[in-house]
Amino acid sequence: MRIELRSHGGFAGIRRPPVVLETEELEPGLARELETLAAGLPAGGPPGRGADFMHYEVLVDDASGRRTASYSEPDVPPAVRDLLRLAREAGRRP
Amino acid sequence: MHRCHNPLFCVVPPHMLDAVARRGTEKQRGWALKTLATDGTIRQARTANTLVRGRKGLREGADALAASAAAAGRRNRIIWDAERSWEVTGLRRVRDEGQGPTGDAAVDEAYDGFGETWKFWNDVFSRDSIDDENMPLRGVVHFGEDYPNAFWDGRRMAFGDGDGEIFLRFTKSLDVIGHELGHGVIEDEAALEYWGQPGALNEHIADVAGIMVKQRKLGQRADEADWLIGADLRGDEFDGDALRSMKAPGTAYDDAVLGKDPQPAHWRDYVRTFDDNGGVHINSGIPNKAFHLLCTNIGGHSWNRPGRIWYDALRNSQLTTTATFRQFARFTHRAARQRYGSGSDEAKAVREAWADVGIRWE
Repeated sequence: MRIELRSHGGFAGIRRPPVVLETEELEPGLARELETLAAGLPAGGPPGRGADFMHYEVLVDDASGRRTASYSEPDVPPAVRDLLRLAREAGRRP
Repeated sequence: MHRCHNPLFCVVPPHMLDAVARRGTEKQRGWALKTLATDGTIRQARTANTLVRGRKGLREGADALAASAAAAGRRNRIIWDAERSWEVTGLRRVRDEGQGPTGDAAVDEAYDGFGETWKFWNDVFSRDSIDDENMPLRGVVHFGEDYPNAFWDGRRMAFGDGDGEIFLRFTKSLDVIGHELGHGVIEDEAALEYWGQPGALNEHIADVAGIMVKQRKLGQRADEADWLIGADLRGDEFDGDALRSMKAPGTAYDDAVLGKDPQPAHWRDYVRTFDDNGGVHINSGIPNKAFHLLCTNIGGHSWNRPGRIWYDALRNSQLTTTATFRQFARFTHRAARQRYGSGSDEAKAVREAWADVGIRWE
């Protein structure tokens, strides 16, 4: 499974470099965790009232095709927060 | 829609009515309040309510109103600790108004920054908090894990700690705190849509608010100030001066990870994008540069004449939620003419500042 995470907006208004992961290349436990989260992505809602929120896009490619989901703060589901955190950590590993 | 029931009063701009209602003689207060009260806009109704309430608070026997008036004009800060969670409610309340420092830098910076910002609005524009009705200033610190951001959610300001490498904690820059609180004022006064041009105006006015708070705290004139937003929250790996430069949009940073500062400084370079709510933090560079030009051309302190002109324009009841750069520019020019005279240096300087960034309305 290929997972791509994109983020933009926030106070800085910056589009950050995407984090791209091939789960086959990761340690099996982490890969399974990421694949489970990515397979069950909840639906994103519209941006909430306020300013300087971050926006996230998740692109998942696997045997069944491509799925995409978008999320805007402050309503980012906990499962997506977990996915973002794990993917960032995995992205930092050599 | 502005409805004027009295042809004599409708030529008097709201800010003048407000001033008369606050500081006029009994007779003058009477007609000013009457005019404000008969105006159909929410903003002016609120202004009238506040003024009437304040007045009633001085009367004998009106205990509830007296209590309300007693609360008005005082800072009311509350800080919560998210403890690296992604929640903004149900959190530990760590510092209330009047309590001493906690030793937690983020808590104390938020508390002090809120204090400076509240004082700015109160001293300079006689504004009582975000809503001019003594709204508590609510802050959540340590929001999220390594969260490199701060936001306003319509009720409170939340501050992340940053990743420690590119961004440090977002409470470190007073202009960032002033910016977030500015979003509250903007929402209260004009509710500018957070998309495209009105969104970039929303961001611009929040930057203006933030930079004025910082410059006033530092006692800097326009020509002495650095006009940088977010300079204090740069980590060791951030390659640049700040997140934005109002003096030279597009030059704040050039970083291996973040790329180059994308802000334009002129209308011809307006960026059309779906990112960032249609480039709200990008295209704000254009009006930011206009404000910087105005301040340096007029001279002195940004929060005096330029700040007053911008505040008048923000409070103009005809400013719509979908205002364009050009429409807002016209309101600033109108505000300068009404406050300082049609042929005033201030009105000329406003027109020139906008023209220099490619915004013209005639």
